[in-house]
Amino acid sequence: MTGRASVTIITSLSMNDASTPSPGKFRDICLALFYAAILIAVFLLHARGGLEAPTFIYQGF
Amino acid sequence: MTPYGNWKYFLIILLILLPMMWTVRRRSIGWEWIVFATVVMLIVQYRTVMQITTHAHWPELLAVGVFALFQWGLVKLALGRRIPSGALLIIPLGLIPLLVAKFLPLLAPQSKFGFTGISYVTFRALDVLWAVTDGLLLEVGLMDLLVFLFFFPTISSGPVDRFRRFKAEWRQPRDKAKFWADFDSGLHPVMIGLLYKFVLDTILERHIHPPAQAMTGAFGTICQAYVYSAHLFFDFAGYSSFAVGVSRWFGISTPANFNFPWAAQNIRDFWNRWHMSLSFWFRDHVYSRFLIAAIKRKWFKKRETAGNLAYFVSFGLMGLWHGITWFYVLYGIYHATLFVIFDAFTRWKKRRPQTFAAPVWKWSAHLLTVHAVIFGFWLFSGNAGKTAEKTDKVEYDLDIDPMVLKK
Repeated sequence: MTGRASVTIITSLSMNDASTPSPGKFRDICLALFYAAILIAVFLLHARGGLEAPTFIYQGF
Repeated sequence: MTPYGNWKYFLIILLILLPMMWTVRRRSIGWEWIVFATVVMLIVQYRTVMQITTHAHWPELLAVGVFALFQWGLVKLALGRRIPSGALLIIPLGLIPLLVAKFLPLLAPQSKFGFTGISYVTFRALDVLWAVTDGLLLEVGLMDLLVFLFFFPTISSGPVDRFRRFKAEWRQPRDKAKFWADFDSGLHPVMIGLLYKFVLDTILERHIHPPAQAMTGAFGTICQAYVYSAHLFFDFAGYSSFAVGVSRWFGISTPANFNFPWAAQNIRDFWNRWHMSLSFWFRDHVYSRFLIAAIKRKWFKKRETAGNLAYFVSFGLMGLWHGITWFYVLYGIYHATLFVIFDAFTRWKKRRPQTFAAPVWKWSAHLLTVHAVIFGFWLFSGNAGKTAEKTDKVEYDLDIDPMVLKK
């Protein structure tokens, strides 16, 4: 499952397991890295002004 | 507070989820958590006091309550079959609060009635009323109705769920495994929402919009149309993604709103991928009903005429629903016209099956669709009128506040 990726990467990194990751595990690790990149980008873009979204167009219709 | 607009909103969601996570360790959690979360979020979201008339000031929450009571009354009326004409009377009655919200600021500019998301909640209410008048629902519980109408992750801008689907799901208890599976499947859309709204849309607004805005002439207009389209997509797809993900955390499989709309091969395909919950709602409740009535009662000689008119009725209403302004109506008429042209082209193409078999036609259709849609968004932005008005320098608003436009 996709969201478990964040947990998987932490456990994978701490397991010291040299074996080749299974396709599911590999996918989870890639997803975890993807999520981490998103969170870092959010932090970098919004660190100064606080987490404020740009104006919503569709909210208010 | 704007849903999904800042860190406080996400913090409140987290504060509700934490006790759920704690509780589910020992026993299953039920629908009570959805009710609790919805009540908390309604109080948080609708604290604003609005000016209904010069002398009357209501908290937004009161308008929510009045709306709920009104729709509940209509549902009871429809269930009791006290109105013989059924849908013909009940559906227009169900639209009254939305019409008041849309027209009151036009008639009395200082006045306002309604609450954020009233349009979407009205769609959900009408879905219940249609189902009752069609005889598909023989009973509607008050709690089922209220939670369906005001389920907090989707209240402000959808997606527009369906009552019969929601009712079957929301009271299901969730054990530890189910809760974490839901949490797991909800995390991905939430992350995509963060990417779209807080990363890509932010970059657009800060770094791409200002230089595009400074451009003039036809090329500038084209660039601004692209930027606006991207902004609209990341804004709404981001919001929808949050709504789907957070719904999942509370055990509700809210339908998706977007399915790679920029990959559409034609305008019909586009509307099967863009704002899907709304376009399917209009397809089921306006287009199909109009078409069936027109064919049954033989309003037109040709079935094609009925179909074409059904497009104009559906998209015209969809345009009006966005706001009582000329460019929203024009946007609706424009898309109905695209559908009519596409249908005529499809019929013409059927007689020439070999002509359009080459891959180049597939790519051409894709490019044409994307650019037809971008032109539609340019109309939707309201900037077409500004271009006509300005002669020396054209200024564009990337972030047009719909509430301002309605005035």
